[in-house]
Amino acid sequence: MSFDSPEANRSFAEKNGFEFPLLSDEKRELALAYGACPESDARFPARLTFVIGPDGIVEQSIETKDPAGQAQAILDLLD
Amino acid sequence: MDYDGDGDLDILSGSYTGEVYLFERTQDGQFLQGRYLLNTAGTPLKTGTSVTPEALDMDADGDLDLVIGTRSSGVFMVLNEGSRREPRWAPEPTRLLTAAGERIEGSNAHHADWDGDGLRDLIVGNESGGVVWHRNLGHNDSPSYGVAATLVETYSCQRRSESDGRSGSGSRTKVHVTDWNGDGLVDLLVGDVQFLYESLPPLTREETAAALALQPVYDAAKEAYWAEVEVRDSYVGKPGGIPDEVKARCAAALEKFNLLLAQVIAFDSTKEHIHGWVWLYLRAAPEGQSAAGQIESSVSVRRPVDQEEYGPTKLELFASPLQQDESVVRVRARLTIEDGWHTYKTVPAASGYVPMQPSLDLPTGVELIRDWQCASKGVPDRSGGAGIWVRDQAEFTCEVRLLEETDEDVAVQLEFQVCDHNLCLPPQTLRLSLGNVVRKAGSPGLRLAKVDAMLPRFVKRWIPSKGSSIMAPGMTAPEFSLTDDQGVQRSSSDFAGQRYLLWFYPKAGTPG
Repeated sequence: MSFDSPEANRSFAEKNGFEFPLLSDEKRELALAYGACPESDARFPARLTFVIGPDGIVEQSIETKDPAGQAQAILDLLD
Repeated sequence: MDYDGDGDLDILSGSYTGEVYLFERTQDGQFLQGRYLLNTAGTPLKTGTSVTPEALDMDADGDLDLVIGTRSSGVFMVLNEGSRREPRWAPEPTRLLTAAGERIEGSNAHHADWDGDGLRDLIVGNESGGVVWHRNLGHNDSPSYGVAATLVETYSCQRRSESDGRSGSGSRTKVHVTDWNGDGLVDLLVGDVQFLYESLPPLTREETAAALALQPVYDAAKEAYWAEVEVRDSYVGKPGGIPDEVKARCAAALEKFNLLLAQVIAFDSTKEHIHGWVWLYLRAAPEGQSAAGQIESSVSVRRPVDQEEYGPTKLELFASPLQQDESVVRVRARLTIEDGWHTYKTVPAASGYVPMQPSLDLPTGVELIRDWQCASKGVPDRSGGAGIWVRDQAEFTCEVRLLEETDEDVAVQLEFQVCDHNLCLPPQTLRLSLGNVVRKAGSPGLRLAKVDAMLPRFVKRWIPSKGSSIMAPGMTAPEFSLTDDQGVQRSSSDFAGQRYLLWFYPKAGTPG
């Protein structure tokens, strides 16, 4: 989820071989709803990760302090 | 700062894109055109984006090294492999880590003695606001950083109004430590950026009419733009990509929309202001005296636990529990020597001089776990003997572990001889005390009786936290319907009944 165009996301996904969809939130609507940016003209969303349960309730809200080291920690949470 | 030791002050500047610029001052007081600092491999120094450099001697080799804060990739040190007058920058920056091996993070890093123990600590500002302090557990020429202690809380991204008043520093904090009011206690200066809104007076009747008339035109332009965006997105992932003509239509629609947006915003009842303020956090004086500034509790600078004078010298004893393991106490003995006098770190064989020799007098229940180390390099004896002199200040550190309560004091002795060019005073042994080992009130931990009273008390929170507007566990996840990188519409309803993960990342094509 970022403010990039689908096109920019596509090249990002292809370059890195991501196997999950990258969503374009160009209007910042979802980022605002989640509190990931303060304004509708924010340039970037904050690095936040949310785990949403089958019932549509937020289970985890994680602020990324260490982009490189956090992936495994989050995967562990999902297990 | 004086970059090349030629006696005039040059300017070092970080940049958003990550290079470090030097603006060199010429003899006539002008500045040369800025140029990148290059490393010995000939490429610009680059440690990340939005960098701020600070020049200081990190390895006690007499030249200036660089410590660079970066917006999102940590704090780095670039060692000077040249000299004070001709710096040559190492090709590989070194990441600064805490003693526990954790990355030190911060967009702005500043070295200063925050707790008054004579060691340069690291004070770090951050992109998301707040200021933390990493205490130096090592020496000035080989720092070892403790875990981050919060000096200023991280800025909450809640929307604030101008009329809410100024409540403390905001985002992107830049820090500097100085004794602002000359009271002998170091204070904190924090630069920031903040976005505050202002409520404007209600629109006049004419303005209301104009705004109403504009609204449908604006809505139409917005819809037209998003329609073009949809057309554009429909080409994503298809062979040939997006036709130029489609891109151009999209850009033209955006331009039209932006013009109208500006007109609509002019009628908005609120207005956004960007501020960049400098905040002064004054330290309160000890003994609970009130002081100006936004401070919630009193702070005292570390004072020596014990001290004694002898002739032109003064011996001070400092001690503090380690942050990682409070049963370990770091002990520091500092001998300050007046101008013109010196002591001996080592002496030539059979010279008759007495070198400095620290020792501990430990009761049962306290053990030495790290023997004395001398943090002062000293200088070779000028007369050509094999001895090493120490002038100004001699420092020794060791670590002890507290195992059980004691009645006897933990004592430190320093034997030394102080001389000037004409005479030597008789060798002397000074004995100072850290107090006995007692149990902490309400906890199983042990402490040294005299040390505990001298420990600095730090302001943990200077700014009341306003909470956060970030979705928290237990809240209902907002719904969405957005286009993915294959041009496919993805909705929250697609994931109903499943557990899913939403990850907000700053920008495609950037790491993390």
